Amino acid sequence: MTQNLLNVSELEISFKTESGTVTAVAGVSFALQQGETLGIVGESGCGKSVTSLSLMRLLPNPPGRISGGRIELNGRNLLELSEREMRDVRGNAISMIFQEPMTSLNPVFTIGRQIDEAILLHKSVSKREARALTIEILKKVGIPRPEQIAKDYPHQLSGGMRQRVMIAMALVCEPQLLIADEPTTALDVTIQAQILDLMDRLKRETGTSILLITHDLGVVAEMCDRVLVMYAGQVVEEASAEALFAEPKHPYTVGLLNSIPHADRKADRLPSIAGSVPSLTEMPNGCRFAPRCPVAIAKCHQQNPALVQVTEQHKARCWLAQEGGEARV
Amino acid sequence: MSQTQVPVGTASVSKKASVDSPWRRFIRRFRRQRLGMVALGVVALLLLLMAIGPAISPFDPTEPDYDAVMEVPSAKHWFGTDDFGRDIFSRVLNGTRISLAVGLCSVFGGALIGMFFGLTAGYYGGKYDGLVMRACDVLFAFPGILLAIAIIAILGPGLPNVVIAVAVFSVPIFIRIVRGETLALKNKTYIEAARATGLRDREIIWRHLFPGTISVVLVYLTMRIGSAILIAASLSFLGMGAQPPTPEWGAMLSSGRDYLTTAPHVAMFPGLAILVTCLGFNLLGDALRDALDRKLTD
Repeated sequence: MTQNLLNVSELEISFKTESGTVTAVAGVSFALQQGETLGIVGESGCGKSVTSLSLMRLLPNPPGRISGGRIELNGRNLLELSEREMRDVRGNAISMIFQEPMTSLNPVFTIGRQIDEAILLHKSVSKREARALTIEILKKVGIPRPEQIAKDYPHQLSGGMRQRVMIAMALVCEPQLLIADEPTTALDVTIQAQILDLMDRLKRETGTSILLITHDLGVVAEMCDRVLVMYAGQVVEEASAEALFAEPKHPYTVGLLNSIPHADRKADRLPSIAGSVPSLTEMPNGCRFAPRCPVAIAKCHQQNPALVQVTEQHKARCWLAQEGGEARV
Repeated sequence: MSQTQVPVGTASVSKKASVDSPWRRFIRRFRRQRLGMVALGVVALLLLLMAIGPAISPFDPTEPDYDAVMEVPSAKHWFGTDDFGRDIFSRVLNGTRISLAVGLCSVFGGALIGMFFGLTAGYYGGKYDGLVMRACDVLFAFPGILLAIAIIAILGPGLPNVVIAVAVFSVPIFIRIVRGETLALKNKTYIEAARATGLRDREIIWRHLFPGTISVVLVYLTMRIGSAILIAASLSFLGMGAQPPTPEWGAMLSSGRDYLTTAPHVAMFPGLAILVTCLGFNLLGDALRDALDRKLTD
């Protein structure tokens, strides 16, 4: 097994609120290999965006704080770096694409100037060379007439084009890891497919690893090698993409998969998961999913299961899966 | 394995013709406002007079002429003469430089300091922000003119001190508006994206937040110049600013006050000059605000 590019272990993130300190992410661990795409799936508020921000150490502090764990990039613990060393990692070794392409670019500068800035920050090149690189990367992400578009302002571009520009900006310094936080959520379906194709192609060309944060299982199926399912600040299931879709082990994952419409299955009404995510201040004692779980047993309400290996490619945080029980609803 | 590049976004080609840069858009929206254009003309004329006023003034503004005391406006003395026989037109002309210099220096000084504290307080937040804002509250607690008088009382009368006094009470206003803008801007994704590319705080503030606050600052700056000139004139009127025989409008107004019933022109022309100048800057500020307002669309 090759050395992991990224190793996150027992990451814990807490927030100070008026009603005391809450733990938004509790003991999340995962690893990412060179050239691999890892998806993090979960509904709003499950801690996936916070996790991705903490990898860059960009968590708004206060109120947020990384209260425990390690984040290792190439064996170097990012949590121990000074702010100056961390700035060198940001945009250089790790880049990020945000959900909102409409607001991710500064409206008062031209596209070209913003990409130039990212280049000049991390590479010792002249302004002229930076602009040449900018044009080249814009061409690479499929922007037509890159010389002219570089002189345009963000409001002159469509959402899909802006997201391409964001991708260009993120990849221009050839990062080892690209964090994409819901990169396609704000786009039309057809544009979504184009952007995903683009990311996939660039990943294969550059060997960049991608951490894809999404709540769209369709995106996961298309893009990811492995998937992490998060619920209420914890990883509830980790598996290869095929294994997850073929044989989900956690009832929450099952619920998520059931709530996707299928082309070949006729249903009047899509099933949904009853109830809602528990508030961070009132976490249940047992399994965090137990109150909503259709197959919960008595033990589930008393003790929170650990994330354990159930098959070679599969980890789940569920008593039933551990006991070889049937998670299917 | 490489795929052929499929050019996308051809829609932007057709859009190209109608969309233009923020600067051109601003010019177009500004030119549409007739009053704003007039105000711009007035301000431009004032700036011109500030530059060439002393050179074109027909008489020495401080030279008394006891043969022509308190003359009414005539072909020789367009605005008449004052109690020392000095040509009021020349004095008003020369006063333009003084009033505008005081107004511009104090407001630019105040704006610079205000922007620094506003940007840093808004960006860093926390205790520093609290401290800056409470300091502003203290300054806000005093009426502007009273604060200026207090500062003059400490520093002593004179034009340079008037500049300082007016600057000091402009500072909290700029701090507040710039901080407000900064708070709104810093939560935008592009600021987060800038941090994600590894920019340091200083660069984010200077390159990304500062340009975003310019439009509001510009509007207030223009409007403040009018009121700064008014306050400076008021201080001179009260004898705390320019000292005689300096041809400062407020001081001229003050000395003309005694002859209001017998020779109203002595006080009227400097008064009109103050009025036109303040009005010019305020209307220009209004027009700038309308032209720069992001909420209004064409």
